[in-house]
Amino acid sequence: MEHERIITRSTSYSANIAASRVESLRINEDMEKVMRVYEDGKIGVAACVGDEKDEILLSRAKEALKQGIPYPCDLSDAVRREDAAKPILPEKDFLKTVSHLAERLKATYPDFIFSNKVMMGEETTEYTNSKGSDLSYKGNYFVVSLVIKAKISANIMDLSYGVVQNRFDEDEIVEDVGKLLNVYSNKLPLPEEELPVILSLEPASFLLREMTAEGYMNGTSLLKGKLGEKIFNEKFSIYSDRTPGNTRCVSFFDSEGTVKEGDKFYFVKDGVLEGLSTCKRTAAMFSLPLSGTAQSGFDSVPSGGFGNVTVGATHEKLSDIVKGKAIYIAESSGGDMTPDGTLGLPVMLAYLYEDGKLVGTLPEFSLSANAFDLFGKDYLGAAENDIFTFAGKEKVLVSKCTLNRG
Amino acid sequence: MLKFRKDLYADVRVEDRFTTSIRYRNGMLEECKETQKKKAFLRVFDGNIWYYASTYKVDDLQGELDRLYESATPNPAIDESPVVKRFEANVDEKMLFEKKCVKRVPLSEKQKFLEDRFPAFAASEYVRMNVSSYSDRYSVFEFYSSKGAALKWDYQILGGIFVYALANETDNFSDMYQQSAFSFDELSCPKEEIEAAVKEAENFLLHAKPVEAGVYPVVLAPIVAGVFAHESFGHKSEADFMLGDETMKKEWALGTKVGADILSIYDSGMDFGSGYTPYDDEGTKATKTYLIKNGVLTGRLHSVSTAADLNEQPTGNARAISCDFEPIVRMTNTVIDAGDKTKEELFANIKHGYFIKDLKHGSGMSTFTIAPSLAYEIVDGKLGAPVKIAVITGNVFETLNLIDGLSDRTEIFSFVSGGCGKMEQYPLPVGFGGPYVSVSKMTVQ
Repeated sequence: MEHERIITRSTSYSANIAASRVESLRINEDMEKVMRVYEDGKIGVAACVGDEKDEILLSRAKEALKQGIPYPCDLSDAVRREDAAKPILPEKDFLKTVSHLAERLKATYPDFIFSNKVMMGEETTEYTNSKGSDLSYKGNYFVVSLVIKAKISANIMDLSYGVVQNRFDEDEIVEDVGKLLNVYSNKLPLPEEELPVILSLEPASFLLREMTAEGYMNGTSLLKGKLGEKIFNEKFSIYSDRTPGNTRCVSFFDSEGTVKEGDKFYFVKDGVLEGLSTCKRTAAMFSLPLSGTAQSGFDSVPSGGFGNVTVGATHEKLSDIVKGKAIYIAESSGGDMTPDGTLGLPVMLAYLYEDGKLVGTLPEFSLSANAFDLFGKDYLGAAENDIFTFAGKEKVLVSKCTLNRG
Repeated sequence: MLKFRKDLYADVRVEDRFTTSIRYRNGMLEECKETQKKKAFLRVFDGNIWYYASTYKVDDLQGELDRLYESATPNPAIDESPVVKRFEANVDEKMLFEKKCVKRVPLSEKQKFLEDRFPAFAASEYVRMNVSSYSDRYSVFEFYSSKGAALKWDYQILGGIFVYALANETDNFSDMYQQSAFSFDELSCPKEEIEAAVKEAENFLLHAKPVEAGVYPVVLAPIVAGVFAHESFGHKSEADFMLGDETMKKEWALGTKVGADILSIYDSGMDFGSGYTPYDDEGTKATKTYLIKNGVLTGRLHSVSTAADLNEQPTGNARAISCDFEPIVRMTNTVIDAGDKTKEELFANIKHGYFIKDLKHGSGMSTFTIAPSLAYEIVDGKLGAPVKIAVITGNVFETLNLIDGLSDRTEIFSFVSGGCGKMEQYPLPVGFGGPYVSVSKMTVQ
């Protein structure tokens, strides 16, 4: 009987900002331990919150084998340890630091109200198995997730500023927020001319759900029959990147200890549909490669997921792709894609972008596009978002879409 | 017995949560587990800052509380705080589900429940993949505060979800049938209903046509109307969005006309449903709060802190998704009251519009959105062909005034999966409900 064990330990500090002042500090300490056993093509899983003895968990996992859940045993003997955690702030200074940031935002941008969270945390994941594999990853993060509202507005929120980083720089955050707020009141009409549209990675997430092994191999994916074919623009790539340092608390191995070469797995590379999301069960069932993106909640049997997905950069910076004007989508929500690939994206806040800067806000509208065009003939590229500094590492997409004017 | 210190307010919430999760894909077992998790969330308030801790060390709550106390600054006037004054000190035990607790139902019975319904997927030759899931949750909550609150209550929900993905040579279409209940013997998921849903999906696969983006009259089915109420107005009623915000306080002053005369919306944690919350996560007893009555703003949803800020009273809407998080203002069961028309009368006046029968998800900011899963054309007052709609949207402030008809019966829905997301906390179980709702203009794309 083979077995594997995963231990996750995490600590986080979270300050809540309400009405532009820090109103609370939350400290979370967590530990979870998972044991999986494999016998005769079946899997048994047991988990606990806290630190239960291995023998007890092992015994419970063996008991769970009786459920008869088919799962292949394909354990590796990989050994690797990575510590990507960097000093950010002493924990004792966290509350004081966030309070100072909130006070400065309030003073610098008096026409706006700030709320929501600033968080700092650290996470360690260890994977070991009976074949001798021993993997561990330690990472940390600093999250700024601000909800911003204009004081004169009757909306519950008008815009947001969100970054996941592994460092803290108050000046950069205040400056970034200013790039959104200093031109917020400059209301501009929707441009008459067709302009490129700068988007977050959200529209790409609609494509990902068509790239699961089960959906694709059962013939229910929009992309069915296209594996190995060039279906998008050759500039478009989308992949899971678990490289330590490129992620914030996403380990370089997935939840069943799979490590991919270069810590990357391409779903689409240079426009070609190259891979599907798999776990060991679906990889074996459909004779597909492991994507190294398996996931499993607490005591769940692993299943295919996507990991830290990003798009391939075609240029170093956004300003290298867009010379002149574009429409920058700052807030969108609730969009979706029909089964034939028609995408609808309601846009609550967009800015006019010109020569590397945001210059004013546009009326609400919605975007429509066909997914094959958005990432195909209309796709212009992806790059780091150099409008911002603290948030400058976040990637954005540039493409063309139809604007549905109110 | 916890020892609370003087000059500080504190409370402790403990949840012991049991869940079952069973999943088959194409008849093959993928998941079958029972999980028990017990965690606690502690809060200390010194009149200025809240200090929170989440812990799995439930055997040492006193130690955790004492450590948290060290962060706070004792305040001899803490009892005079408008926040602390509003905390209720209820003492009660409300264990409604113990006798029919899902822990007592063997896993094998839950598996059989799903297996018996596998044949329903054969209703269409186009079903390429099916997923049958059973989930349940039984939670026992305890709550103790330095004001003397001592509460114990339970919560239970369970349900079956049947997903079917259909495809032919050129198209694909996926949808699901789901039903929830509050005890295992109430759960039915009749095979005939699943078969009918699969056949409807087949009709969509073969006959659904694209729409031309534009503004149209729309009729929302009760489940969609419930989500519409939640997204379009429910979130605006959550008073934490008004903290320190004078514009919002003026715009959303009670008594303001915010919607059509026929529109009334309420939120109630007292009602059975996925949002059943007899006491909220800071010990306030559930209330029924009318948010809009006859188009006029009549109430809003509060935690103790937001009630103090607005000089109003708590409504029992401070909720957290688990003991990993602090309670924030959330909805419970949000319902649009019925009107006086028949469903047919709502359709009759529409020359060209759309009927939104079911949905995948919704969201609400200044614009609310609903992504339909099943939608039909309405032509000359009659239901027409199925249509492919990515999303329907509307401006919240305008759309509430564009409601021009409500059917005469409200349906209330509960869900065993998914829920409401707000900031970092997702999913929170909430219930939705309403009648059929006719809106004269919505953007369809």
